[in-house]
Amino acid sequence: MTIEDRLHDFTRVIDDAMRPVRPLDLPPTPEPARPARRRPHGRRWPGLLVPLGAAVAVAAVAATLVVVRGLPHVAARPPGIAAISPVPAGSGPATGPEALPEFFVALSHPDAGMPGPGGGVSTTPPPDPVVVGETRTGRVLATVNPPAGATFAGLTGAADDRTFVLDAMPRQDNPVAVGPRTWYLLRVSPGTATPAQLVKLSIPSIGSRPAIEGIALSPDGTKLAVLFQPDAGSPAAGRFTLAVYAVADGALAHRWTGTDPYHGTYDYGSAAPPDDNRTLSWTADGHRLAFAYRSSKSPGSSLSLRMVDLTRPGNGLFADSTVILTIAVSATTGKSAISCETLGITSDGRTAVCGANMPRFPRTGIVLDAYTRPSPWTGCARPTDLNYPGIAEVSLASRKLRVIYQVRPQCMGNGQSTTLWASPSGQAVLSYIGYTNDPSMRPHTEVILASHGSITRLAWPGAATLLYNAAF
Amino acid sequence: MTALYQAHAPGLVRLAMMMLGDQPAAEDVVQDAFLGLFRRWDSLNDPGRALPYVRSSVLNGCRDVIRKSARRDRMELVDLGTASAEASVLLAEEHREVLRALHRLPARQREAVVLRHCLSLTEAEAAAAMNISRGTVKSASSRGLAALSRILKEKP
Repeated sequence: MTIEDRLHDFTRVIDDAMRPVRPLDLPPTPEPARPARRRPHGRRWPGLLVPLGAAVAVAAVAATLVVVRGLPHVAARPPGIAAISPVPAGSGPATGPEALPEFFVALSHPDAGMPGPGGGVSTTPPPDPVVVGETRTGRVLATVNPPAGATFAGLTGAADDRTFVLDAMPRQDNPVAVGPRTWYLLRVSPGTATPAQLVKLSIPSIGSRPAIEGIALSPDGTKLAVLFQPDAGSPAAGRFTLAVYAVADGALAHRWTGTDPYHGTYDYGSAAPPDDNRTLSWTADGHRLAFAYRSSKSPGSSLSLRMVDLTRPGNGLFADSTVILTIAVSATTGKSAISCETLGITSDGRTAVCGANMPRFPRTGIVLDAYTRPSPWTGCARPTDLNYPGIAEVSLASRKLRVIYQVRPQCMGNGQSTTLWASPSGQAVLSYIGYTNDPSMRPHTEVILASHGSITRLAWPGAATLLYNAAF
Repeated sequence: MTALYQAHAPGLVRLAMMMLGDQPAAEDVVQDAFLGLFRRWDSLNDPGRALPYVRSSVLNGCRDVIRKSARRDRMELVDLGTASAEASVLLAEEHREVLRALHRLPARQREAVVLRHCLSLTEAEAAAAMNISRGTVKSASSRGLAALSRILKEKP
């Protein structure tokens, strides 16, 4: 083979490996032409950047929750939006387990890991401090700096809304670089002299180049689940592993290992931080742990939700886990009923919550079967049949689909829907929704609380940006 | 502008990917290039110049990224992009070798080889993108190919 042949072959492989390119993100109107000058350092994604300082300042005076449906102010709703369910007044219970968590902890960089309008992930320098804030108002209560020379890469919270685990890795300029992790416990005590306290944990670093595919703190805050691939992206890439560590002493409590480097996870291939805290979900008793899984050997593989039982023996990630839900993709047409950006279970173990792209008229009440799947990018055009982002739930007993909320834009690229938090019963769900709806392809983002039939939007400025990388 | 992006973004991202070895970084460079074009759109005399302009901007953007990385970590200059490419895309060993070899070439040779032999641009198109003469493109790509061939024959 000549060197030219090798280059052609290499080009073909790069073509095959390329993911769909995200849509163009431009300001709404052209600025007047100016003499050429040096571009500001590090400028990226102007439409999404919300400086933390500005967010904090505005958040202090922001309103809390704005009811999206039921309000006479139609303009409060972006054009093209329609909610599915009937919406009584109110925004769900204010206290108790079904209530929206009072506090959040978030990676502070304005668009760390934020999806672009086409669903791609923007790459910006790794996030710096984490922010402790009030969920309903965005009021910042504390900031916590990473240890010297490190940057925070992920966070996850317990059910008490006060206990969080964070991981940090060595600071690097390459935003997609990975590195060994150091784990920290963050305790939040709002209104006290020490509103946030960070303590280093003894949980292992999980190798020098791990791809952390998921982290989840158990509801009682005693166990940390980590889904990872050792030495990701190298010829020595290891098998996907789900490990559970004791938070108190870092001891390995459980470990399940996959069959090969390609039988991985839902998020296979996105090794860069922030570490995903939405692929793993615990039941309230801390005995069962669900993980979303899709084989990376075939892009058309069905999406599964599998569950391991910590009270049972076995260490095979697949042999010793149970499929509790499959969102089937037709082998012949490549179509599926819905497409889930995130998929997890509620802590009562009865419902799967899907950050969904759905058909314009989803077949509510159906048992999931092959239907359709999204095209990678439609540009500013009429959405394809599976480009309507929203929130869907599936009963794990009946497998029936229930649509809680859905956006119906007129003109868009791919929609994006990510579940940020779900109550134990799934009656309340907080979701990030993103889509484009005008020829400028400017992204619209919002954080929707669907609670007991009521749809409301978190209205404090910067909510979508900050909460996208939050734990509750 | 949107039509131009839709038509040429994949090719430009591919070009930047070969320079940087990483798709998200490549997409950022392409986005920035289009943002620059957007700001200068009114002063662009000939819309037909838009593609060469933006292609040239993409190359400039890649050089900036490479320079920045090199300044920050000179010791790892040779590995620039390769690690992240491997992290995001599972390439067969033979293709990783090509990527590594490309990144060992001097910048001008690398650009000329990628534009001419990977993306099949004409000498004139490559010259416009690189802001150099056609003759320089020819010699740079020829030297680049020879160097690439040598590197790929080296024992690891």
